[in-house]
Amino acid sequence: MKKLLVVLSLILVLTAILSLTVFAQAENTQNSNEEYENNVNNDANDEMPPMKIRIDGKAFLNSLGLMGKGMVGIFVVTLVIVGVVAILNWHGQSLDDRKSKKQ
Amino acid sequence: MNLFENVMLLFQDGGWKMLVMWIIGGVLIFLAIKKEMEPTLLLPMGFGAILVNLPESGAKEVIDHLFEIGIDSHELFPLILFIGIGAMIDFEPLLTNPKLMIFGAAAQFGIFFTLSMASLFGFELKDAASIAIIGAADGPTSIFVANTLGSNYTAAIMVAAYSYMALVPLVQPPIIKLCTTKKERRIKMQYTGKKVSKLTKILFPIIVTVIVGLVAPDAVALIGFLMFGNLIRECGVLNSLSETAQKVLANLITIFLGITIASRMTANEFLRFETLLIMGLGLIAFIVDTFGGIMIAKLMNLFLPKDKKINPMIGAAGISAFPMSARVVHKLGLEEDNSNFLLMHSIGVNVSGQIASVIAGGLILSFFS
Repeated sequence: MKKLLVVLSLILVLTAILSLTVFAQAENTQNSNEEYENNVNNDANDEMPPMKIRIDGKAFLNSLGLMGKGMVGIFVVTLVIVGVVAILNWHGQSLDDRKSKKQ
Repeated sequence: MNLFENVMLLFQDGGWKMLVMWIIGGVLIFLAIKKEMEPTLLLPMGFGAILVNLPESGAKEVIDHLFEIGIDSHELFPLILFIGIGAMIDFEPLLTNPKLMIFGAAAQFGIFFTLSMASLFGFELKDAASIAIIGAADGPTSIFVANTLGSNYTAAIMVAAYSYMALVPLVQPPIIKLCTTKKERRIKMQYTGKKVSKLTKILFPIIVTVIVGLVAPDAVALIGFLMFGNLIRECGVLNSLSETAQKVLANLITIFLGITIASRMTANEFLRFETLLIMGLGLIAFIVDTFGGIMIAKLMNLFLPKDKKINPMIGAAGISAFPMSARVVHKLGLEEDNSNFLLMHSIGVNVSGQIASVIAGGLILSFFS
């Protein structure tokens, strides 16, 4: 029940944002058109321009290269750290062994 | 007269947007207090959202100034918070079984996948990378990367990152169950509990800083401050500093960080269609992270002998949301078999996720430097 409430409240927030942003976008577009027509767009430059949502296949393909580089990079760094930790552990163990032999 | 004018502002052009931000702030406060979802951050953010969205708000300038000195110039707040986080983390479960780090690395797949997805939806590459870092499941890293790249969507990214971190107990279990069979979830793993020498614990933060610093110099501030905190903890001669970093310092910075992020939650910046898209992409990042961690465990199982199989659920703990993710995995293990204790393994993977997410952040920054 609690989980359901949490999910419902989040959905509520998201829906509120969605519906209100659609209105906001429409209002922004209308305003920017008017501003363009009146050629008084100095203040509009201070705000972020509304983003045009589009499917950009070329950018997607370009980013696949970054994905590959990123995953290779992260695995290489990780494997180096794993190797170093394994050496440290081995060194620590051999030190402990020497100590116990002395005792 | 002035009071009347300010009230009237709410009903003029765009005034309704402020009211919406009050509601969003109220919901964040509700989730923080009633549901105890990341209250240390959601509460200051919620209150801050109301504060900066009051007509002619006099607090906006003060909070903007905090943003300038604490985040905009060299990301001081997230970095100092990392000292506290480093002092809180015990790397021993990871050091006893270093191969767990591979799961942490695999669980960052969501970051790079989301980078591609955000590009597909037409976000600029620097914004796509900032959105993708939500998948690091690590607030300070998200703030650091988004701000360093100069993203236009810092506030939405912060809210998404912290909301999903709080929602880990809801987001992860269905994905874990979907990706694993009942038999796999019942796999028991032995915890050897080997002792780690003090020298290893001291050298670990220093060596990791040097390695990451050489490979991804842009991440050295993040990893360096995290590991500095850990060195204070492990050196054994700075106990009072370690306690201060864990409690006082971390709490102090968290208070400022939450309310400072709110400076970017003004109605004009936040109430945009992109905010919703960023929330969706953040969820994808978390899901794919979980998927990546589980799949690498399954892959490793193909090559491991029958008695040394890994419970693939622990791979899901590699998403760095510490310690919620480890707890989720442990709980799911107990649900399947009440004698299956996965906590130490999942904690090991979880802390490795913390390191891996910082490395991923550094790699992303290095792509753009």
